[in-house]
Amino acid sequence: MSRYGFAIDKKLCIGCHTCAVACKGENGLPNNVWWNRTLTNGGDEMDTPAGEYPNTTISYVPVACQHCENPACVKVCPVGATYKDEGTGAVRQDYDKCIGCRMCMAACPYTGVRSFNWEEPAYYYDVTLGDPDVPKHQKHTVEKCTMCWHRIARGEQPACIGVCPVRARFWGDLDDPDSEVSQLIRERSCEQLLPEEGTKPSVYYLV
Amino acid sequence: MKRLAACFGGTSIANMYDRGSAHGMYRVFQCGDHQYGNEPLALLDSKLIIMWGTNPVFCGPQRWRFIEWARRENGAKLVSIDPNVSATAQKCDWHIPIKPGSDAALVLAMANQIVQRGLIDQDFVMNRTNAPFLVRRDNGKMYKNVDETKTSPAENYYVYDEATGRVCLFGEASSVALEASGVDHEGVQLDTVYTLLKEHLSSYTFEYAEEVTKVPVETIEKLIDLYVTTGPVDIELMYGMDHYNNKAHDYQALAVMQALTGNLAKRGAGVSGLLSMPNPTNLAGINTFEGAVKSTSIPAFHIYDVWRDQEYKGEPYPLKAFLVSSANPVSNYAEQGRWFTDVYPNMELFVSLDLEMSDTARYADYVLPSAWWWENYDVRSNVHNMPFLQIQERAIEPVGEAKPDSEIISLIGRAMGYEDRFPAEYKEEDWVKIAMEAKNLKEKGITLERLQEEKIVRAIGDANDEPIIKGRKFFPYDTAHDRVMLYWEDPKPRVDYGQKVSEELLRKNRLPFFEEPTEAWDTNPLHEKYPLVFLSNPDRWRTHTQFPDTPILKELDPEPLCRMCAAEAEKRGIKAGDIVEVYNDRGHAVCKASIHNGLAEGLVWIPKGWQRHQFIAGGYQELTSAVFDPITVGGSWTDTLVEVRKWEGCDAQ
Repeated sequence: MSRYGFAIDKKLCIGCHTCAVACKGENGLPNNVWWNRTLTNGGDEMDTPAGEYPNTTISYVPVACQHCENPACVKVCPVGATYKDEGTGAVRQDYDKCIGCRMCMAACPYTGVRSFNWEEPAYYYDVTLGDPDVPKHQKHTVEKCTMCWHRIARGEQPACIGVCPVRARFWGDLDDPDSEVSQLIRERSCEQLLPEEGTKPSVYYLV
Repeated sequence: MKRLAACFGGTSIANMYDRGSAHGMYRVFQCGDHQYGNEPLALLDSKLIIMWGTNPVFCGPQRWRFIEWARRENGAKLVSIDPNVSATAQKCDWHIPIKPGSDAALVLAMANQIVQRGLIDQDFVMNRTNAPFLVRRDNGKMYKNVDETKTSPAENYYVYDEATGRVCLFGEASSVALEASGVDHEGVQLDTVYTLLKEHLSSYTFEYAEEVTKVPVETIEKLIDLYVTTGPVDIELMYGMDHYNNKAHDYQALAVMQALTGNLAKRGAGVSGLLSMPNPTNLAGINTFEGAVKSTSIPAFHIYDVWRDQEYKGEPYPLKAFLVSSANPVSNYAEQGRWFTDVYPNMELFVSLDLEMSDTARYADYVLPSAWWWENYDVRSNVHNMPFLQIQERAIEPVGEAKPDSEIISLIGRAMGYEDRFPAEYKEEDWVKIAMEAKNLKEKGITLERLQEEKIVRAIGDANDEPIIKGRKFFPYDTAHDRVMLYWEDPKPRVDYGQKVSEELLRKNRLPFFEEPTEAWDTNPLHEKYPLVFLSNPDRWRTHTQFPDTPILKELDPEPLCRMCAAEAEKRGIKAGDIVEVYNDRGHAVCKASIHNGLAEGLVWIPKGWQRHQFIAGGYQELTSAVFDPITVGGSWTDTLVEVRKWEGCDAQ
């Protein structure tokens, strides 16, 4: 029994989107679907800063499902397609049960981490990309970051962790005080997204 | 390709990219192309890292990681010197804005203060530079008496001995002077290199530097103070400063400044940005053979003239066919319009080996599809920022008609009648075997078998020893006397294409100086009409012109953008999302506008890599100029002035 969570070092993050692209590749995401996004906190467009030259500011926030301890999405799902996995702490989505009502998307305060397949999932390539253990994407279902449950089941880390070129992403058991993630959260100043919503996210941003 | 050219004496192209840096550093270290930097591990010993005209957060994140580690683990201070507040500048402790193309004036003003205030590293300057060697006043040449029997090449030089008050050979002096002015030897008037440098630097006052660079004097003072009190200092350099004419001086000046303060050839110090070392494999075994026909090598932008005039060095030179592999010259050579006006009219056959439908492929008569890296067996060995050899194995067989480049070129070679040079039974593995038959690799116990098993092997340096640092054991200087040249001893043009360069100009280049860019400077009358410097430095999304059409990347980076600050946009009634035309007398590029307040006034930026078909009209490379100086012979893409206007009143789509 583990309670897996993430620590992302915002001071190191360079907004390169490698983690986002790794996720897209690993999970064979359909066109225009992104489970992990690297958001720019600055100007109106990606990679532009706020403020006036030369006193501009910019930071990057990689955002995916926060795998909350008190998930709003689980509460509202009428069919139990969204649920908190006991063994890992991951908030999972069962595409076969999902009826496409999108109540979870309305309830989740982290806008954009969930996406809905209005049409048959489309792909640029006629070969399937991604790991063979990833569940097939389905029309009329909601999907989101799975915490790479298929990799955790094999004893591996999520795909977005090892690829970070500046080593800003960490994943581990929040219930294990000796895990790297637990140590980082103890030793560094942290922030979380929308703590006032009460969802108790399992993602910590080191600042 | 070189092997094929050697079969019949095919003309090859001497590339002109990034020559300001390569040649500027060559003047000081006599190094091979770009072979002046330290490996990334060396950064961990630095206490001050200056990103000078480079944006590693975008363009070198794998090296940036080490820079951040140096900050975290070694308390290194990070400074960015850049006209713009780049992504890197936003991460640094201090960003110093500077006028584009002016950097040499800042460096030389700093060096001037260092010399005047006696802040030099006496030991390094005396013993590891040519500072004490004497120079003839009449012709600027080094005063030498070359004797092959001398054990140390330094002993061929004359110095001034303070103990005797006489000029003598280096090995004979007991008290070598650093400064000596107008001393006489057999009627020849002499000065030491150091004296000449000191005098030369004296005109680079604070006021002059502020005037040229727009960096305030107080900032320069603060930078000098940080620089001389915080060491070891590593200066990270790529090509932000490089891509103007007359910028070899900037790099030469930086190397000289680092030499003056002893920030070379020691742990944590250097002029880096990139590790580039000689390829350890046996490329000569592939590139050439007994009986090879000599090839002529012509500088890239000069080849426009040769195609147009069908002449080289004043003699007829009928160029008719063009074979391209692993390159995108139609997209990357400056002043793209010249392909249409000067080259294509005389080109009878154009063949491109390519992975993607690049600009070059789109204009070729034949496109031969190359296999991608995962369809290809090879050894990665070009030591670009990593001192390792890495095996490259096929993940899948080439798709469709694609073939590895080596196979395509061999097919061409055999079809041209050179069966003996391109044996039909040779596969990629056979060419790799030749490359791995290298004496220095064998001496280290690095064989193809070992590489196949271990996948990656350190080929240069030693993981248990100090990092690779230029000027030290794994990467010595290439000067005959193992000393750094504060004064360029034998100036000559980097490549010869028949140009005439005056003795006076060569003499002037012995010491670094500030020289304005050719076009991109506000005193140029053209500036009235075209007041914006045009940047085409890379964005984070691609490597040069690779991956322009990758659908997944285009979801993040959908189209070319002309980026400018709000002030420049407002002057022209431009809003974010408007379609704009960037133009000058050479051509235009039409794309969407983007507002980016990290950019300084007086410039606009279209990131390089977008191909012509991705613009609404034209393309960014139409705007740049192929004019280059005859000594450095380097491409100067940023030495470009443009204006921007809304495109025929169209609103954003």
